[in-house]
Amino acid sequence: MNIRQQLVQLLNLAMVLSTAFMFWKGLGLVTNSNSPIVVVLSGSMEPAFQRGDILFLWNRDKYVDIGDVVVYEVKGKPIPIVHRVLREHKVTNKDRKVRQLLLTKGDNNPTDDLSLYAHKSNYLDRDEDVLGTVKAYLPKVGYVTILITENKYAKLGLLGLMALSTLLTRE
Amino acid sequence: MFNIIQRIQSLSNFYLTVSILLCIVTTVVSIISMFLDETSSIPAQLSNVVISTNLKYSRSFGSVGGRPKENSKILFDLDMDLAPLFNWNTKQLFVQLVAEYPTSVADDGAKVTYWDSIITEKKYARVHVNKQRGKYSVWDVSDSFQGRNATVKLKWNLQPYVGFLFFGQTKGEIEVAYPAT
Amino acid sequence: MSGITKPVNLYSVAELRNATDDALPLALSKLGYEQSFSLIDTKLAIGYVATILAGSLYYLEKKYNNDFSNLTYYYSMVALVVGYFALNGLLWLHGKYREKDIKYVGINKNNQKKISIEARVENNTTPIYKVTVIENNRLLGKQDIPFTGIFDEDGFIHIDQLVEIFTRLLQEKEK
Repeated sequence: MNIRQQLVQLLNLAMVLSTAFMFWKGLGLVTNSNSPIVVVLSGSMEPAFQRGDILFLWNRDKYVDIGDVVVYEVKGKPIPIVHRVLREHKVTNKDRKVRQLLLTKGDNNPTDDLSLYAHKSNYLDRDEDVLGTVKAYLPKVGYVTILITENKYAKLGLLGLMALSTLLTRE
Repeated sequence: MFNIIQRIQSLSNFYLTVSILLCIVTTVVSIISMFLDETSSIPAQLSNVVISTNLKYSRSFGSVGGRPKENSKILFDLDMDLAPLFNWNTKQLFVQLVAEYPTSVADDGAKVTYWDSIITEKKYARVHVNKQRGKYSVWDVSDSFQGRNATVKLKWNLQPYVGFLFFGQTKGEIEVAYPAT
Repeated sequence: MSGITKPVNLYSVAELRNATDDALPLALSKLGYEQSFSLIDTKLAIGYVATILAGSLYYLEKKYNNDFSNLTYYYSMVALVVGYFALNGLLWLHGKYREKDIKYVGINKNNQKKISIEARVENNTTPIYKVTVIENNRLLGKQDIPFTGIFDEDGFIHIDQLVEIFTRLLQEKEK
């Protein structure tokens, strides 16, 4: 009897965590982006985006458009970058598939992103490098996640608080 | 102790609900006001657009392995008033002068930016420039522009304080030819 | 099991209800009933299977580096997400239509009759425990029990009073 009650409480906690995780994954599937919501970490797009702002991404358009703000990740450099498309070119590669090449630049940067791209490549590849285009914006709220990811005590504290509140309260 | 946790929980639930509602209302109102302000047909007077080209040999101008790369620059006159795009939810406007030209792959095979500008206040929404030089030296994926014909237009992106980003272009585009090489 | 109970906050209807819910099995066992756990076990089974699905997706995400272009990973993700939310829906239906307000199901050791007890409170400001007793799908009795009748001033629940109430409720209709 008592063990069932404890199992129910444990299940409540597990459900809170797993639902959050599965919603995140579901959103990833709907938007076709493996990180559908990102937090701005640098000031390279100021004054449009500041550190701590939250961006909602969409990755179902075949081509991105000039002027779109894209989030990209270059192979070997695991930090996603949020910049604006300055040029786009459609080209056919060897297997005759049309690919889109992009040149990007941060609004607040003096030069384009050529130096940030993978070795020997002069453009981004829309299919391979782009995680999504920015569709919507929420200011400042992401500071919480910056705090959590950059401060391990904040992370542990939040997890502890969540666990405590689900274990101690019923309905 | 139970009571404190319960109170914090119900309070934070309340604030979360209120802020989500606020975000939804903001977004809906902002979409409606974009629609009502007829932002899709703002006229812009583009004139005296001249594109010039020269050859560059450095990697920062697109040259690969020292091969000559044709770069192009622009000169233009522009008169427009983007004041209708400034509503209560406009944080900034990003405007860019774009040339679009067909390639063998697609009719809109290439789109390149020659000039851009950030407008953060309504009093600067009127842009009137003469003989304005572009900001960028532009090159194609191929070695040269091959005397193509381009459509030059002005695109804008409205960055809100909160909600969806809006994109559009002004009315009044202009046909320009790249100089033959 | 003894009736070790903690005192509850008499001003919190939620706490009073929880404490009473928890006391039902003890009270009914004194009346010769053995608790049946099938409802709660169904809930636990569905819930934990769903959790396992989420856990395995977490494992796959690490294994495949969250690479959406890997088709094995992509389709497993689709299946797991769909499965997870389907089970969640099932859990919701189970709670809404089968479990409803049922707080106790038990079988009488003497005559093998099955009773279920539904209990709820109207809202968080009315300290009245509304009880419905059903025996073999037949309504046996209803009673509104004020919490003041089963808790003392120090916030301790009095099982004996609860037993007394249920004795009356269960006997009434047997005539």
